[in-house]
Parts: sequence; C-alpha cells; structure tokens
Amino acid sequence: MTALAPASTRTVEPRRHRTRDWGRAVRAFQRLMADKEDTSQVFAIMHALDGDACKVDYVRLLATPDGGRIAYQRLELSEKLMDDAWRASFPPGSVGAAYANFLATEHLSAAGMIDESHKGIPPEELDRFHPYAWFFRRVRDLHDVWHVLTGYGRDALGEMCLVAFSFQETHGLGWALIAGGGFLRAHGPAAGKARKAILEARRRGKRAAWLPGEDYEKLLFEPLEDARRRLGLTPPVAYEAVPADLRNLTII
Amino acid sequence: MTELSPATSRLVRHSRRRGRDWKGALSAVRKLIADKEDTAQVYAIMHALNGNAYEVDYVRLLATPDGGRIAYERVELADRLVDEAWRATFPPGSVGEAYLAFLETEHISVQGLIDESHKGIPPAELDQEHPYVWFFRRFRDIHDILHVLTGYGRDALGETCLLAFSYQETHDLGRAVMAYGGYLRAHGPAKAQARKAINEARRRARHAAWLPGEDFETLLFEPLDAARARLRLTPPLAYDAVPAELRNLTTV
Repeated sequence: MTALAPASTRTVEPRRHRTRDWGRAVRAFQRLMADKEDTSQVFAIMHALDGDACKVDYVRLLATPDGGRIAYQRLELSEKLMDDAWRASFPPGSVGAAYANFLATEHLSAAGMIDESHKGIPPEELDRFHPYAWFFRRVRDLHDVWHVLTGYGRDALGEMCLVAFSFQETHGLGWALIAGGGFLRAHGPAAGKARKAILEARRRGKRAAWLPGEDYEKLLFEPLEDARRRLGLTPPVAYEAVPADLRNLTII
Repeated sequence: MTELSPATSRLVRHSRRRGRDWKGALSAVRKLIADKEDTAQVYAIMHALNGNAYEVDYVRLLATPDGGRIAYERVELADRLVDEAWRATFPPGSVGEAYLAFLETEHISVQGLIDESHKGIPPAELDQEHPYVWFFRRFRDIHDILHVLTGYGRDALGETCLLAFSYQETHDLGRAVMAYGGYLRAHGPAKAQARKAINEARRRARHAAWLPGEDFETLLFEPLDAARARLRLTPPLAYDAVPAELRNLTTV
C-alpha cells in the first residue's frame, strides 16, 4: 500500500487496543447454543470479540453528513424509544409504526434488550460515559428497528440472518461468529435454503446504506417502503422462500 | 511502513479529508504581518491549514484514560470560563487563580478570544455541532490557560513561543507556519536569543504531557507548581533570558 500522510499515520498510533477474548466468546457461544433465548450470551460474545469495531464505526459516523451532529447530540436512543408519547406520534405506515407493532406482536420492549445486554456485559463497560460505548448502545437499541427494516422475523433463522446483516454493517467479529455458527448448524429439510438466506443477508448488508449512520429520529417517521428503497434494502427473497414452520427448526 | 490491519485502514479511509487552503493562508499571513494585534487572522491561518489535525487529536483524546468521559460530556469550556461564580471558587495559588490574574493584567477575556475566532472562521464551520469542531473550540478556549502553564507572556515572542509549543501538541500546520514565520523574522540585538526561545518552546512541548487531554475543570483547581511538575513543564529558560523590553521588538 502507498505511504500514509503524516496525519493519517498519527491516527493509527493512539488506537485503543482492545484485544479479543476468544475463550470467553466460545463459552458464551456454547451457552447460547444450549439456550437460544438467552440473548445475554449474544452480548457477551460481541463484547468479547468486538475489538476496535465500535471505534472504527464511530469515526466513520463522524465523517457522514449528519453523523457529526448525531454524535455531538449523543442521544440515548433507548430513552427515546421507551417514550410512549413519542412512539404514539409515529404516523400510520411509517417505520416507527411498524416497529411499535413488531414489539407488540413479539411481546418485546426496548427495556428488555437493555436488561439482556447488562447480563452479558459488565455495567462499568456498557454504561461508560464514552463516545465508543455510546455508539455500542446505539447499535444495540437499533436491533429491533433493523428487524423491521430488513424484514427478518424473530425466529431462529431470522435472527441469524439479521446477525449476518449486522456483521456487514458494523464489522463486529462477534456477529460473524454467531452467523457462521448458525450457518454450520443448519440442518433438516430446509438446511440448504437456510444457508442461502444467511448468505443473502450478508449480501444485503453489503449493498445497503450504512444503517448506523442514519438519523433515526427522522427515519422512524418515514414511510416504511420509501425508507427501504432509499436505504437500498432489497426484499429478503431467500429468507421468505424458507417455509415459516421450518424457520425455527433448521438452526436449532 | 508495515501493513495496516483492515480495521485501521478502514479508520484511515473514513477520515474526513480536509484539504489545505494555502492561498487563503497566505493572504491572512500578510494581514497578520501588517497588524500583529489582528488575532482574527491567526484563526484564519489555522482554519486554512489545520487539515485533519483536530480530527486526529480527537481520536487521540478518546484513547486517554479520562478523554472518553471528557468527550462524552463535551463541556464547552468557554461557558465554564465566563461563569463568574465558578471562577470565584479557584483556591489561592491554583492554576485558575493565576489564569484570572493573567486575564486581568493583560485586559483580555474569554469572550474576546471567541469574538476574534468568529472573525477568522465562518460561524457555519466554527459553531458546528460536531465532535471535531468541539475539540477545536476547546483548544481555542484553553489558549490563555496555556500561557499561564507554560509561562509565556503575551508579548510577540511569547505568543510565537506558545504557537511553537501548541504546534507540537496539536500538529496544526497553521501554528507551525506562524511560529516559523516568527523564527525567520527575528531580528535586532536579541535575534539569536529569540530563536533559541522558539526552539526551546517546541522542545518543551515534546517533553511535556499532552495538554489537550487534560481535564481542565480539575486542572484549574490544582496548585500551579504541582500542575507544572505533573505535566513535565520545565521552566522557559531561553525565553526568560530574552530581556523583557526586547521581547516585542525581535519578532515584529
């Protein structure tokens, strides 16, 4: 590669070297395979394998047109998403309305996600007053919004697909480990189709806009179809081709 | 140089590349030479030439032990420094008290510095809600605290020394241009001594702690001598050796 400008080489120097803790990751992965509903293990895996992903993404955010303002205001999205009055203001057909509907039908809440993340990651790391930790919390809070945007359900295959999609968006290695594990464990009559769906998810993530850089206070008010088109989110054809009754069976 | 890890090269690629405006810098330098008191030109020069310097410094700040919290809280130091009630709490012998005495004897104020910076940099740039720009404002606001810590006066030579010092701390090329201009223009009986002082300033900064990473809300309450010792700020021997009455003459 070509020599870097002095300014760029200096950027490289003061990196916060976060090493990857593979032992912890593997143990958490085994616990996750034993109990698929134990979301806290997902956070433990991500935390163990994240490395510098959040840092790189945060710097990337600052380079986007809206990202500087978003980072400066550093809104905690979970607080907004738990605000019932704000959620009630989502217009019909909007991303926000679909999101609220998704939470209601799946019996989920933004608070539930936060609790799981606290079980997987020590609070002094997760709740830190640090821009990188803020960015991590932001991606956590966006997970269910991404379910709605990408069209992946909460079944085991849908989660795997979203994890593969998220790896492409954030490059957190934990996501790749989980998606790769799901890919290898696919079995039963729809194994081939499920693997196709996971590969498609990664491809969609590559082609789509960079979702962590979006302004969600606006995006949630956008009509769902318009938002998908603007963000380059094509329909999840391979995922939808897997029969609904097999989506949970193929991975677990 | 060695191959960069993928994460790091992504970091470098996403840095916001700001080109340098040499033409704008040159015309500002001419205006500054014509009127040394025109501080607005100092800001115009820095704005034209700083490129990615403050971006790199911001990422560096996030890697320091306190820096993440400082960046997350992103206090506008100017707002604190104009707060009379807060200023009144600086204990005797502290950095803060010496700072107030400096402002008083030199008849300067924080607001004055802010006004000058607005004359040199368009407000759409300077007042942006952006972490990088916040960092730039922060460094602007601590300028007079750096005068106190380093021991450089507000005479022409002292300002030139502080520019050389702060170039070494920020790597803002605009500061190097001004410091080097002062070095070249040194003349009169104390010419050699003045040049020695400028070289010494750069050396002191190299030896000192990284001041932009300090928590100034705490630092201002520290005893001045203890703070200088902790920050490895040696006495400005070469600067002090220049007779006080010649300090304004040699570089103007």
